[in-house]
Amino acid sequence: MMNSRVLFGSYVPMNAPLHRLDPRLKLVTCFWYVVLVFFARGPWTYLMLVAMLAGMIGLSKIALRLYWTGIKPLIWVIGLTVAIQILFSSGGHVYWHWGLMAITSAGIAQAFVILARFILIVLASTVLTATTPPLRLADAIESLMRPLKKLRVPVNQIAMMISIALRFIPTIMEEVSTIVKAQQARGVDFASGSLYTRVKRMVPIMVPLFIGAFRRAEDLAMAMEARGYDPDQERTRYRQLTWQRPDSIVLAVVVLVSALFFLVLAFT
Amino acid sequence: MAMIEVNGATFTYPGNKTPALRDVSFEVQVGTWLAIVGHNGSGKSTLARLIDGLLPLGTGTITVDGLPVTVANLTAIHQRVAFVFQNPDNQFVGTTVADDVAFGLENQRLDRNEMQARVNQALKEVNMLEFADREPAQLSGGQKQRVALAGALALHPQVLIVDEATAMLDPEGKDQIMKLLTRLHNEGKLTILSITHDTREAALADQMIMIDGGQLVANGDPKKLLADKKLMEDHQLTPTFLVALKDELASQGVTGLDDVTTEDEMVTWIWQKLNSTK
Repeated sequence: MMNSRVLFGSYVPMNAPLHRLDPRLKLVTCFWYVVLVFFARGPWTYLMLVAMLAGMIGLSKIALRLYWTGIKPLIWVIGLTVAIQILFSSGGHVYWHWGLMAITSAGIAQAFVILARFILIVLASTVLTATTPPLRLADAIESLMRPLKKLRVPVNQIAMMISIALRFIPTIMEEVSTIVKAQQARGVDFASGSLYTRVKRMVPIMVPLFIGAFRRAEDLAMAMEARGYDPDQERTRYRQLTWQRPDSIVLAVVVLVSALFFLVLAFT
Repeated sequence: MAMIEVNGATFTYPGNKTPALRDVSFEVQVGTWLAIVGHNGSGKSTLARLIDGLLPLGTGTITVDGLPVTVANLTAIHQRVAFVFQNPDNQFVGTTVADDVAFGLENQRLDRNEMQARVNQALKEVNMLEFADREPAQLSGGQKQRVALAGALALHPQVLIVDEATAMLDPEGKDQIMKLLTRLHNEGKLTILSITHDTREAALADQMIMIDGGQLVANGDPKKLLADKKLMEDHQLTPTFLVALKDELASQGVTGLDDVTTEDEMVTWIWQKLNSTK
C-alpha cells in the first residue's frame, strides 16, 4: 500500500468533489490541459491556465503543501532545462556571451515560458494522480483504449497486465526487502564502497528476485487457469465505471472554458 | 454416485524418465471429503492438478461429474472444480479482495448484479465481508487463503480441491481454514479433496488415499489407515497425536483403548478414568 503510493504520484484518499469524478473524464481533461498549455500565447491565456489549475486544485481539497512534494523531485530537471534555455538561445538584446553561450532577452523570455509550462503540466498531472487511485486510472485507460480492439490491439490482455503489475508491486517490494535483509544478515554491506562495488552488490538481490518472480508467475498462471481464465475470451467486468451527472457538468464546463480560451487566443 | 473416477492415471513430467504418477485408480462419491496424503514429492499435488485438467493426463482416464477430463472439456471442468493452492500470495489475482473473488466470475461472463451477489455471499461465508475493499498487502496469510476459498466458493463448484492450503499458515489461520472446510462438508453437497501431509487434517476426512512414489498405496477409512503404525512409518508420515498417545499408553500397559477413534472420545475416556480413580 505504502509502496504503491510512493511509486505512482501520490494518491491522497479523500472524498473531495474531484475524487468522485469519473477517472476517464479526469484523464482526458488532464491531457487536454497539457494541449492547451502548448497552445497558450501571451499573458491572458496563461492567466486563464493558472485560473483553471487553481480551480482544479480547489476542487481537489488537497493542501498546497502536498502539491509542492509533487514538484520537488522534478526541480533539477526544471532547473537544468531553464538554464539551457537561458544560455543557448539567441535573439534580442545580448547581455552576456562566452563561446557558444549567451544570455539574451529572447532567451530569458523563452526560459520563463518553459518554466511556466513545466510547472503547469506537473501540477495538473499531480491533481490527476492525487485524486485518482492507480487502479481507477488503469480502468480509465482500459476503457478509453476499447475502440482500439477493432484494430486488433489486445486491450483485455493489456488491461490484465496493468492490473496484475499494480497488484504485485507491493508483494515484490516486500520480497526485495526480505532479500536485502537476508543478504545483510550474511554480511553484505550495501551502504559503503564505490558506485561500481555498490552496483555489483545488487546482483545477489536481483538473482533471487528474478527467480522468485518466475516462480510466482508460474503459480499465478496456474491459479488463473484453474479459475477459468482464457486470454482470448471476452470477460465481464466486476469493477465498472459509471458516468454520472457531475461528470456531464464538469465536461460541459471544460468545453466552455476551452472555447473561451481559444477565443481569447484568437483576439490577442 | 461417483463424482470423481480415476482409472489407471499415469503422468510423466516433460524431461523426466520416471513417471510422477503411475497407474492410480480410485473413486470419490458425491459429498465425500477425501484426504490425499503423502510426503513431499510423492505425487499427490500432481494427482490433484490432473483432476482439474491443469496438467495433461498421460495414459488412463479421469472423469469429473461424468465428464472426461480432456482438453475439449476444460472449460466445463474448471466450472465444476475449484482449486485453492498452497501459496496465499501467488493465487491472489485481483487488486482488492472483492476483485479477486470476482475474477473467476468475470471469466464465466456473469452479469454484474449476479457477480455482486455471489461475491458478497462468498465473502460472508468465509467471514471476510468487511475486508472487501482491502488490498492483499493489508491481509495476513490466513485471510488471503480465506479470500482464495471465497473465490473458489463463488464459482458454485461441485468439487473443491484444497492443495496444502494451510501449509504456509500459522496455527490460528490453519484452524480457521479447517473449521471452514468442516462446515462446508457438513452442509452437504460439496465434494472436497484436501491434499495434505498433515495427518491431523486427514483425520477429518471421510475417505483417505495415500500416495507414495507416484503410486496409490492405501485407500480407505482415515481412522483405520492413520492407526496403522506400520503403514504410516513405511510411507514417512508422522502418526496423529491420537495414535501416538494411544501407542504410548498401550506401551505403559493401559488397556481398553480399542474403541477410542477420535480426539473427543479420547478426552471423554481420560475424564472417565480420572473420575473413577478419585
